[in-house]
Amino acid sequence: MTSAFPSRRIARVAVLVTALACCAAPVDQAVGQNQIKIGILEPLSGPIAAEGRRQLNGLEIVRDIINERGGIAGKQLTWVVADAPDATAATNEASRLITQEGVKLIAGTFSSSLCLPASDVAARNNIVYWEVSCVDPRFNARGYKNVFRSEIDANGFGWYELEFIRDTLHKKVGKDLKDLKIAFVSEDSAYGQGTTEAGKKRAQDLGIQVLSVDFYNRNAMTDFTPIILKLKSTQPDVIISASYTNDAILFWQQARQLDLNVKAIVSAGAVGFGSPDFGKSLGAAAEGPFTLLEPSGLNPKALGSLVAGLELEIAKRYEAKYNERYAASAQLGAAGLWILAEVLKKTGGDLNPDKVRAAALSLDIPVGGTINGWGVKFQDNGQNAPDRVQHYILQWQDGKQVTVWPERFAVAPMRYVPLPKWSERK
Amino acid sequence: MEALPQLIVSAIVLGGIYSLVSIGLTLIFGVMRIVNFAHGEFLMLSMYLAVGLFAVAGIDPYLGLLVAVPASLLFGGLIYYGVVRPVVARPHVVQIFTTLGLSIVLQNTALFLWSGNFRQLRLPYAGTVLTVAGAAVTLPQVIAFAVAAAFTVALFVWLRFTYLGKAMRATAQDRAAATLVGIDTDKVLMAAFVVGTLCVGIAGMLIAPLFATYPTVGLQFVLIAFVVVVLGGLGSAVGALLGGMIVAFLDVVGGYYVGTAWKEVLYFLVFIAVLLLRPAGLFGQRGAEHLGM
Repeated sequence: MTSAFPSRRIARVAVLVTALACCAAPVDQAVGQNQIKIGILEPLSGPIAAEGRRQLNGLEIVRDIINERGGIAGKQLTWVVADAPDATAATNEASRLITQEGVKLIAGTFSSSLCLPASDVAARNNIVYWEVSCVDPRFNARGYKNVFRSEIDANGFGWYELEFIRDTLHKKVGKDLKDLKIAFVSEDSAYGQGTTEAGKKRAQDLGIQVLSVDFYNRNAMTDFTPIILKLKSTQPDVIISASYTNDAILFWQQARQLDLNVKAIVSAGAVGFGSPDFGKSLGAAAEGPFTLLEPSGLNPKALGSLVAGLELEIAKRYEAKYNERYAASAQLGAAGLWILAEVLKKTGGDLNPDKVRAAALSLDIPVGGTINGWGVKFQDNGQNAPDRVQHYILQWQDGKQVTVWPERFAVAPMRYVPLPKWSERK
Repeated sequence: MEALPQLIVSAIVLGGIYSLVSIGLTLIFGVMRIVNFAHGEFLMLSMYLAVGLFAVAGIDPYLGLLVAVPASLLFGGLIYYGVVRPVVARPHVVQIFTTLGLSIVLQNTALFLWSGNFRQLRLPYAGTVLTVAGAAVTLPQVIAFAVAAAFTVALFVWLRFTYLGKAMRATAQDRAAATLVGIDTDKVLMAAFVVGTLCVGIAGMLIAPLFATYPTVGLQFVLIAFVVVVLGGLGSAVGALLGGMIVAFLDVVGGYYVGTAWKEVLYFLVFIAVLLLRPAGLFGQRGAEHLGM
């Protein structure tokens, strides 16, 4: 349909072009010269919402402390939060944060299934991706220069669990390494597979007998009877579990029902046995399992005095604001953000990827020097060196998790080795 | 083989649970031909009801059934008139998106109201283990199975011998023919939806002591429920029971012999085989799968 008056058509086109131009223009870049704005991506809905929320809470507390203490290079840290319940949402929300919100750095993301797709988007857009929690071993193996991770990966989890066994647990159980029998029970996503494969490899290197490795899909697991019966017949001394929370709760309940007795059970991460919901859900039955986590209570003698005070303050504020214990995913968020702040102080608040990278790689903090008793030394691939990211074994005692290993960081002695038989428990 | 008694008993209990969750779906799917993607969320809401009653008033979920029954009927009615009835005569695509949307709304409302934390309803006698035929079962499992079995029988009797039950089966077989013989299919559809919701409402109360409750817990059961329903035959209560048992046996016994990583492959293979050989499902009316689709 041709307009009789060409000027009308020109006018229509002009309006259309103007409208598009307005939409395509980046959101106000002058967010405030006194602010540093970043993007935060966490799962706040969907199956892992509980832990995503806890991580965001930890991030918020540390952000508030940073800002109260003068911010970063005199600027206040602010952010835009996006919800990523699954991998597709992670990709879309990362894109949205970059193109519509105009952020130049994204931090997050809790889960191994989210951090890969989201950081791919960031890398394509030459934006820094700051990971505080996910453990997928592939995260730093893709050759990206702008992705960093403050937490160790699943390989580190598996490695540390076996380190605990090698250093202490096998002695408490009363068996030499070569006589020790272990079994793996693991959910089958990147977190479970990574942790279990690394643990299995280290066990084999140490000469420990691996009796079985059982994988399952945590979304389809309604009955652990098959696995538990197998374990009852093979009788491992120690079970190493990699699970999310609904399956950990079910597994442990059914272990009681079917009378599966082991000398110890070890898991890693802020989910499953390590989740606060595990203790709340199982009460007295939750006593005894070991979890590889951030410290719950740290022996202050093992920390620099600056950090000890900071740890206490974060915990106190967290508990006051959110009415639950400062733990696990929140601790990962807190440490990750604190380290990011240290890096950005070095760049003067500049989010330019090359400057951030230079600053990050130049940090050299010994173990005990920052939150969670961690140290910092980023490797060339952006991964914080595993031997700096001190990890701890906690144990469920009296309804809460307390740090029991390494001994110099412990706040309580280990109990329940071997675990009391179900028939002997109240 | 020592493990076999335990495997069989565990499978039977799990089968009872799967059937109970699926029976509601078979009524809705079978009679209304509506794929209710929110079925898992109805289950989730009922579990939260159980957790809430116990946490706030110390009411046992079994006693809480007295609350759950009217609540489910009311909820089913509200959802039917508010969400489902407008799309009953619409194309399937519209129905699918409606129930999918409902599912998302319910999941996120639960997340908003009750957070994503995992809550386990812990009964004081949850740890009581009974030995049945050389196998260990907990009291909540036994109760869940007993009620599931009793309810299935009751539903079966109701479907077979009462007018409304017969009308439902007729509508499931052929809606047009049912209208022609004078059945008020409008009322039948409503009844199917409300009774279906009642079934899943009861199921949620019974399984709350067994599984952790969280906003997306429905996902653990809804896919299995669809497999059970199609396997057993649309609209058949006995089909849901048998389908549930078959899936549970493959799950538990198959998981033991083949490995838990493979158990879903196992029941989906059987599912495909049954569909190829008998598309209406094991107890479905032959040809029913074509009608109304």
